[in-house]
Amino acid sequence: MSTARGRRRKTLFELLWEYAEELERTSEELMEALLAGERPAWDLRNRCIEPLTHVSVAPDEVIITMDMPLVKPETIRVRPVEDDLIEVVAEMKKALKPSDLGVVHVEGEIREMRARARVPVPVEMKAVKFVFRKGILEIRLPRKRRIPVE
Amino acid sequence: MGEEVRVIEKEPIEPGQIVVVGLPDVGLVGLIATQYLIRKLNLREVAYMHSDLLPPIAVLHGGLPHSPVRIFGDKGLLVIFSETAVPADAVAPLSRAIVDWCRSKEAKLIISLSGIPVPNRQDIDKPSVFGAASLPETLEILRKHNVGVLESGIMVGPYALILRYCAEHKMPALVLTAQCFFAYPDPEASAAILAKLAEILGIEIDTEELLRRGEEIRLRARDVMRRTQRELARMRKTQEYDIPLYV
Repeated sequence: MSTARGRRRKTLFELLWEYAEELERTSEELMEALLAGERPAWDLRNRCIEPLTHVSVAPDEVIITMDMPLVKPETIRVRPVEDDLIEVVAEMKKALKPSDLGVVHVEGEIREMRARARVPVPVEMKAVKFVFRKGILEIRLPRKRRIPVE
Repeated sequence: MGEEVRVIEKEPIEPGQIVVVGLPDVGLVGLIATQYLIRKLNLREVAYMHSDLLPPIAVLHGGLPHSPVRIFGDKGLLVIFSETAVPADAVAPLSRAIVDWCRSKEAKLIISLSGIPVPNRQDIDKPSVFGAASLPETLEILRKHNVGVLESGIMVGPYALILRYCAEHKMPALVLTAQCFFAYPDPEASAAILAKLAEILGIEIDTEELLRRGEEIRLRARDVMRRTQRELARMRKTQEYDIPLYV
C-alpha cells in the first residue's frame, strides 16, 4: 500500500512543467471547440460573403484590414455598431453564384461583402478613417488616451 | 518515421528532373503559382502523397477523389503542391518525405516557391523576389538571375525544412520568396515568382491571366488562406520577422 508520505515531493520545475502541459492541453481543447463552431464564409440568406480580416493594435491606433476583392470601392460603408464593434459592408461588382466559387450543392446569390470586427482595446470610434487600395480596406481607429497616474 | 508519408507513383517517373514545390504558406504564393503553372503547362498527375497526418479529406475533381498533396509532371518538370493547409504536425514528415522522394528520383534541382511578408505590401506595385539555397554552388543560380539573397534571418515551415534536409544530403535546392501580404492571398506575388522561375528554368510562362483574374483568385483562395494562417500560427511563423542575433 503506497502512502503520500513515501512519495518524493515534486520540484518547482516539475510543477511548472506540469502546469505548462496542462495549459497547452487546455488551449488545444479551446482551439478544437473554436474549430467546431466554424461556419462557411458565405451566408446565402443574407446574400453576403465575409472578407478575411486582420486586427492589429499599435501604440496609438488600432488598424483593421480586410481583403475585399471584387467589391465596388464607392459602395464601401464603415460603421461603428458598438463601442468596440465596427461593421463593413460593400456591394460586389456583380452578383456571384456559389457555383462561381466552386460550391455547386447550394443555390443562391452573393451580392455583398460584409463583416463585423471586434476592437480589442478602447478606441475613438468617431475618429474612424479608412482607405481602400489594391482591394484591401484599411481602417484606422485612434486609441483612447489613458489618464496618467500621479 | 519514414513511412508516415508515402509517395504513390501512378506511372513510371524518369529520374533527373527539376522539382517545383508549392505548399500553402504566407500569401498562398507558392500554391497559387504552382496551380497556375500546372494548368498553363498542361501537366498531368503522375503521383500523390498519402499520410495519416494529413486531414481526413478527399479533394474532388470531376466528381472523383484525389489526395490533397499531388505531384504533376511532364517535359522534365515535376510540380508538388498541396490543395489544403498542411497541419503543423505534418510539416516535418512531409518535408522529409518530399526530400527523400526527390533524392530517390535524383532530382536535378528542387525549387520551392513561397512568400515573404512585408508590412507595406500595398505600396509595392511589383513584388521583388528573394531567395536562399542549400549549397554554395546553388546560391550562384540566384546571383546569376539577380535574385536578392536572404543573407541572414529565420525561415519557418516546410520550405525551411526542405532546404535544410537538402543541405544535409548535398542536394541542390532553392527557395524563391516574393514580397507578399501576410494574411491575404497574393496572386501578384505569385506572378512575380513565376516570372523569376521562368527565367531560371529558361521557359515561357505568361502570367497575364493570373494578374487579370487576381481578384477572383483571392476570393476563391479565402478559405485555404484562413486555414493556412492557423497552421502558420502553430508553426510560430512570425519568427520570420525576428532580428537575427549575430555577435
